[in-house]
Amino acid sequence: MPKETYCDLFRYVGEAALALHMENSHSGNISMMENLPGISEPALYITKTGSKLGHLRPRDICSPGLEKITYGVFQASSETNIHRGILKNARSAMHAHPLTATLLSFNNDSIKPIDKLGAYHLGEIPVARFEYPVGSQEMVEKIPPLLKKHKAMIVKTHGAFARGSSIKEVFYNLSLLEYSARVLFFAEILGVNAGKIQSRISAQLKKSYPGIPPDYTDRLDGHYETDDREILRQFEETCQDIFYLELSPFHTGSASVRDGKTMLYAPKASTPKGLPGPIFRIPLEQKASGRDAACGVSSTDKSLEIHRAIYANSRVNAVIHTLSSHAMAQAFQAIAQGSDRIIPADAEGGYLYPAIPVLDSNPRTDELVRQVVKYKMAAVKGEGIWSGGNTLGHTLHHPSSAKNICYFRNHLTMMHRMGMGPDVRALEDENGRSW
Amino acid sequence: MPDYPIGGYMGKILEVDLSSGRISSRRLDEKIVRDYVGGRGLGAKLFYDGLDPAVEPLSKDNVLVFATGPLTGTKTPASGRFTVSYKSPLSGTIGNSNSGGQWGVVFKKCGYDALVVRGKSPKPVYISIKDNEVAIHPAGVFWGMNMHVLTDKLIEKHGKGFKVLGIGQAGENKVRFAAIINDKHRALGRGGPGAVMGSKNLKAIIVNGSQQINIARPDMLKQGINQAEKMMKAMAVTSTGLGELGTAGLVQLIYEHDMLPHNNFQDVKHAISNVKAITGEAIRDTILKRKKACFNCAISCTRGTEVDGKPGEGPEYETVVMMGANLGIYDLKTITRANYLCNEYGIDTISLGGTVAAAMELYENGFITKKDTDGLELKFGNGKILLPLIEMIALRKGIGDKLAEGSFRLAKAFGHPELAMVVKGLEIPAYDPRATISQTLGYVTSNRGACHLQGGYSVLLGFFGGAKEVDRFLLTTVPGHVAFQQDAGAISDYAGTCRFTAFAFGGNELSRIFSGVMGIELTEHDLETVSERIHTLERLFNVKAGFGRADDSLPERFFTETIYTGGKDRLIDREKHLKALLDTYYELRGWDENGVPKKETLKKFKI
Repeated sequence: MPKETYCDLFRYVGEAALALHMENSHSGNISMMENLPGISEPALYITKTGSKLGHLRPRDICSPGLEKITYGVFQASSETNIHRGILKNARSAMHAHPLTATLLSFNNDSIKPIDKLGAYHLGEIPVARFEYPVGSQEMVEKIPPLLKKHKAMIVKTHGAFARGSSIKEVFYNLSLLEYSARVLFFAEILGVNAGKIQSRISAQLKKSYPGIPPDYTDRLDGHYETDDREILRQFEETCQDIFYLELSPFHTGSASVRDGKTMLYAPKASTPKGLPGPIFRIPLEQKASGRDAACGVSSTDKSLEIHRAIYANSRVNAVIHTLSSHAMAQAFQAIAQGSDRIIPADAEGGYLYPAIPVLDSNPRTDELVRQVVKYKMAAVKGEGIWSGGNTLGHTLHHPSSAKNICYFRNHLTMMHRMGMGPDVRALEDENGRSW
Repeated sequence: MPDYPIGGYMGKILEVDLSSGRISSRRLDEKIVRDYVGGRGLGAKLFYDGLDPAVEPLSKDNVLVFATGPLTGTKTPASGRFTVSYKSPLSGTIGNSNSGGQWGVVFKKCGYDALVVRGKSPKPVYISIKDNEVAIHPAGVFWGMNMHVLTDKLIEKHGKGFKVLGIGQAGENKVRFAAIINDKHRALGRGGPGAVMGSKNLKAIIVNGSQQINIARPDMLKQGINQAEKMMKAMAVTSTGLGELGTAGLVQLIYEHDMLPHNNFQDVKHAISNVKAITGEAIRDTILKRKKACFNCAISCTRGTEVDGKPGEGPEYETVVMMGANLGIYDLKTITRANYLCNEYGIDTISLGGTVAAAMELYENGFITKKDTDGLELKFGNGKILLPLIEMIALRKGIGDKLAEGSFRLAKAFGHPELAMVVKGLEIPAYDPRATISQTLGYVTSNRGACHLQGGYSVLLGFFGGAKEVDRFLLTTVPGHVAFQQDAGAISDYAGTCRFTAFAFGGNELSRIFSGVMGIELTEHDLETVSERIHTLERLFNVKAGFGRADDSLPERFFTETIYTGGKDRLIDREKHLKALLDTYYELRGWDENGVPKKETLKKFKI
């Protein structure tokens, strides 16, 4: 890989991590290894100590040697030896400080996601305690074995380490970790019995069930099956908004636009600057000509099916699926309370939506489609927000509003618990209940 | 335990007058401790108070002050350092040099914080200190010995408990860049302290101490040390880099930043294959036998090497570059053998390399010929002449006698002083000034002449400064960075700790350690104030010795000849890179436009 290419990868992932508040101005580190032609030992590239991940330049990436130490060690991150250990079983590693995941580590020995994507992809995330939790030998010895088994782990009260087959996959794992932690954190604040959900998910994961998300791959990132610059610009703008507004973790969700008998389908709807996913042209007809598999879409992934079903049953021209942590926590609470809706408490939310319909997990596709067609969007417990509209921009307004609606509800509940305000139910618009 | 109210001190200064043979001791003034602490600061103060700045450096009136710091010999990481202060025979400025190993710790345990040596013995002598027993012995039988033989002989005579510091033939012959060597391989190198020792007919100082160092608040010290050790283990430079590759691990990094000097700083162009032959990696893979460490140091940057069956230590980065790349020599064995020889004769490798480079450029330009060089072909890249030339310099034979005067006097003697790459007469170390503006300002404002360390070592902030990174071509704010770096570095010098610990921890951690050892609360700000005071006192000495603004400059080459670095051709702009930055630097230091400390500054620092 040319130096410009891997430096760009480091830079964009660093910028994205800063945008998600996963780092302070100078924290964290990213590494990757690469096999170079004619050299038996792979090269190790890692960020310099104290470098600003949000502003990485080529000179901020050094090469200290994977097995045999080289001069790059003078610049290398203080966690280099931990990375060396992790990279014995991975191609890339990253250390970050995802705030909610780290916060949960103070009082937990592991984090068990209650959302489907986190539960399936990450499973139970271990939290490890260290006598000196910054760059210590104990960390060098204990973190790599943990990451052999798990995709991510948390150093108690410090931050997270993750591994992957590429820098992007590592960041995907970290981003998902923070999302799962945030869903869990707010769901518990809202009084959801997380333990019960965790047990049920754990049982589900032991057998194959519909809707298992596909494994992460970046094989076709940047591959576009259209040369229409305007629609590409719209995808880029929408997908970047989804990422930077934190409507969905990195490279999750999906977005599409209808184009005659086909749709342009982006299987990654949350893409920061410099890290786009692919855009495929896919027939709207059900599983036509094996294109789904060719696009890297898992046979168990229901996303594409839902996009198609919405188009088949409506006149919408754009569909977006996102995973907002605030909305998911609200969906968990609604279902736990036997409710089928989230009612806005804020004025802007109430003006736009009397209520957001909520469905339990693994809903029937036709029911989900019916809700989206009728109410513009619907939340599915643990599985995200589905929305439809005339254009990508128009459609984006729905999950974007849902996030804010749920943000206010989550924080109003917290304030109420602390005696700082009324019960959020007292602030709900009456129309929302009868809608 | 010493009867002294401040922890970390033995409370006494030993004074030896070699002219009269008088040995005495006096109580260490507590006020000096509070204002100057120890090491470089204590040395500077004792030196300044007892010496006329106009003194001829190689006369009996020059003074040598060996001083330890309050942390020397404690459990603080890498705390084996001590300093010698003197007026430099090479530069004429205040001279001070710092060394590790074991000697400083054992000297302190004899019950003294400092040793002041005055006068001149009529015949060669050495001093022995065994706890409170101090004696002056004839050294005639040892005169003419190199440092390795001398060390073995003195230990054979006095016993294994003794640690030896002394001079080789270079010091005896008053080579102006002669080093004092301790523990066989450690050098108090820069500025010619070995020549001062030689001028006093003092061959060695041997020490054997067993006294305890009083720690005022052991719990606080332990807390500070725990934190410091953890940070040293966490930082790749201190936990792995320096131990694995030694300081020569920097060679390729500096090369890749286009600042590795070549052929007397004519350019920074080297073939990568040549560079790879002299890197820390090459040392590790070819001649390294074992890693070694100074007192209580986990970094272990010392290279225990062997060439053709001969064991020794080194080479370090500066040596590899100044006696290698800057001479166009890339043969690691030759450089290492030259390093061994310098340690045996007692010679500063940076100044030796700089002086040989000047001689080579004089030769290649036809300003000196084989008639002048005793037949030696002083061409860049000719490694064959290096070992014979070192011997000629140490023994002042033939052309060696001229080179023994240092590059400035050498180049001037042949009519081309512009070919001496010096600041205030001290040879510039192994980072081209054109490739780093902050280090340039550091070189010209370092009180002992061109010194990367006392100049603030800001060059490395451009590569692995972490959160403190300073772009090497930055102009705005640079004077502040340089002053800060100079002051931060000086803390190690007066504490008695190694500068390399600063890669892991700084004033914040040191303030806890200082307070734990001394029992006096010293904040990071207090420590920096002490550094400022020391820097100002040293400057004042230089001013009184005749130095001024005009001396805060570089050789003409750096203003007129470009090198390709940082993506374009660059040189030092006299106005932008020197005058403007110096103006601001002086202002920050509280000096006037001529670089003279103002009255209010002296008052502020109680000088």
